[in-house]
Parts: sequence; C-alpha cells; structure tokens
Amino acid sequence: MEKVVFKRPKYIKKVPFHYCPGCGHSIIHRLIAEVIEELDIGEKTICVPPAGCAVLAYDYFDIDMGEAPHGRGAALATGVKRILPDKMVFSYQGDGDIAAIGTAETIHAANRGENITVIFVNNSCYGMTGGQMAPTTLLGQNSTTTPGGRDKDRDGSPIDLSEMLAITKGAVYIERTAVNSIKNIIKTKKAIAKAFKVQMAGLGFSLVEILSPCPTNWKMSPVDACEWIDDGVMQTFPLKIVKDETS
Amino acid sequence: MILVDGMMSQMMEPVIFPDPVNLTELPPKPWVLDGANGRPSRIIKSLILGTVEMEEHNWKLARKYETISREIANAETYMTEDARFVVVAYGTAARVAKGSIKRAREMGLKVGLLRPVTLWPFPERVIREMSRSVKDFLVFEMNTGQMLDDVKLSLEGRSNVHFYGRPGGIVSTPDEIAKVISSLYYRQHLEED
Repeated sequence: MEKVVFKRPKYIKKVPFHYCPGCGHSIIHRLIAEVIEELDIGEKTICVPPAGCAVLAYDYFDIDMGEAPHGRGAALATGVKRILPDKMVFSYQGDGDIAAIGTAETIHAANRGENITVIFVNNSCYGMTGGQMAPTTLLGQNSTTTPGGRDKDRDGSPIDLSEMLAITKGAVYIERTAVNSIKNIIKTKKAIAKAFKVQMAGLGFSLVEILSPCPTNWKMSPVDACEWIDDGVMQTFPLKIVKDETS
Repeated sequence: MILVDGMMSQMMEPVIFPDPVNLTELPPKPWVLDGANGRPSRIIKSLILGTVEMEEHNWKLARKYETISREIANAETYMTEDARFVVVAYGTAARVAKGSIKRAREMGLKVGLLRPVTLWPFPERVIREMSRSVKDFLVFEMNTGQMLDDVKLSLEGRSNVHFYGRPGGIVSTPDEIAKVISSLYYRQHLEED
C-alpha cells in the first residue's frame, strides 16, 4: 500500500513557480503554506505580497492576497488586521522592499506593536531588477551598482533591520533564520510557526528574517550560493533570536 | 484627486454640510479579503504582467476615463449672461477674480467668471459654447500658466485668449486683476456696441 510522505501543500496552487533554480522563495513559500495548513488557519489568513520577485506569490498561495505598494507591506497589513482583528495577517517582503523603500512604515508598525507578522526574505540584493545593491548588501559584495564590491566609505555599511526593529517597544518576537541547509529550513519553519502563534495570541509585532540564496544575481551555482550564506552572509547577519518577549 | 492650493488650506469660513449618508446600506463587496472561508481565494493587485491582459485593461481604463470626462466635467459661471469678457480661473485665483469682476461691473464693464470646478476632465464644452458670444477670455492663475493650454485647446482659436499669472509668493489682489481686466477690455474695444 502506498503511503504519501511528501506532497504539494494544501495552500499552494497547482501552478509552476517562476523562481530561478536555487532561489529561496520556493522553499519559503512551501514552509509558510505548511505552517498555515498545520495551524488550520488557511480560511482566515490574508497575505500581503511585496514588490519584487515574490510579488507573484499572489498567484501561488491559495489564500486571500492583497498586493501592497512597494515597501508598504506592514502598513497595508496593519489596515487589514485592524479591520479584521480575528484574521491572520502577514506581509511577505524582500530586503529591498522592507529595508529601503518601506523602512519607515516597517519601523512604525513594529513600534506601534501592530499584531501582524512580517516574513522578511533577505537575499542581500535587489533580485527582480537585476542584482543592484540593497541596504543589506554585504561589504565587498559585487552587485551591478557596486562593481568591485560594496565599499563602506562610498556606499555605507549593510543595515541590520531586525536589530533596529528589536529596539522598538512593540516588537515581541524577531528571529533571523536561513534556508540554505536542511537544518536551517527546519528551524525557519519553526520560527514562522512561532511568529504566527504570537499573532494568534495577540502579543504584538512578530518578524522572521530569512537569509535566502539568490544564485542568479550572486552569479553562483545554487550549491555555492547556499555555502556563501554560511561563509559570507551570516558573518554580517548571524542567525539568532534577535528578540523574544513571548514568555 | 482633489487639487487644492496652500491658500485654501489656510482659510476658514462657515460651511453647511450636506445631509448625512446612510452608511448601513453599503453595496456588496465581492472583492473583500477576509479569508477564503467557503469560497475561492481572492487577489487584489495592481500589477498586470501579461501584454494582452495589460492592453485589455488599458482599453477598459480608457473607456472609463471617457465616461468620466463626459459625466463629471463641471464649471461654475458668475455674471456671464451678458458678458463680453470672461475671466477663467480656479481655486483661490477664482475667488480673487470674483472680487475683481465686482469692481469691473461697478465700472460698467460686462465681465463674467468661468470657474472650472473640475480641471480634469476640463469643462471644454462650457467654454466652447461661451465662445459664441464672448470673444475675449482672460486666463488668470496663481502660476505661470498651467491651465492656459487647456483653455486654448477648448476654444480651438474661436476667441482671443489673454493671460495673467504670478508664480507663488505674492497673491494678486482684486484691484490688481480689475486693472488687468479694464486695460484689456478697452484695448479690445469691448465698450463699443
């Protein structure tokens, strides 16, 4: 007798993803969909997708999706959650979206302690537009706008948004994880589930920052990109629970 | 979009509110995102990536704009019935123009005001119809001529279009505009029968 051990999550539509080979979005989409299914919240969850590669998340998740203007995910999620406080509301945002264009909205949403969850996918560049420097780009990292590497004096240093948000009074749970290994993928899923539970318990603002490979713009193989997260990205953005005031 | 100028935001005067609208009877919201409970999931988005889909959407918007421009273009007229000279002005400039028209009327000049209430869609039909009896229009703006082309395009050469405007800084007074009106009025020999 056949036993199903691996299948498409219930809340992912049966359409092919457009993401590049080795991209982290596909994994993160799956993890979120699995958590939604396991918590049995698919019929009460609203997702706010970003501007960027993951805007097409609205074609992939089989839940209600409301696209935000660039960077304004937390602001839009705030509006949805305040009107419908019993629903689950999360924004899904990249680093260019959340740490550059939407920094102000994000900081104030966290500071107000909005009871929303933010999934912050950090691939340390602007992916969709072709690999330009983002605020999160590492020192020395090549990008189309920092040929020869990001220079501290010329371009400034990478910004650690999660640490910035952690000092706000309203942020309750912030964790940085990665999806570059089986171990880290499992930890990421746990963090997403915890963030959602924080919202379900009405505790306040929760955010999971996920270090994610971008082999296309990093100009690496998918395997090398995963290794680079360990050897490079984590040196600037170490995995850790940045803030946890849930207990 | 409601276009206002800084002067308007600093003015105070009594207003009469219209009767309140009954908000208990709102139209249904078949688009609302409140969780896909017992119905298919919904998407609200502004992004259209497919070329065919995008062109269809743009045609839909074009038809919508056409309907809007037909239905909501609106202008207020003031003392235009017997006017030989009409000032076209909006916003604060229109209020200044009203004062200047009162002064011009006291001097015996047949002057009226046309105030576009909507700048887009521009009330071109009202202006064009007015050009049957009015051969001189003065566009007066608190800038260097943002509405001037709209007036010229509406008139299609049927009447003379004069312009007076000052950029932000000093606000024109009714006396100042009355002088502009009277000098143009006599220059165009409008006092003659």
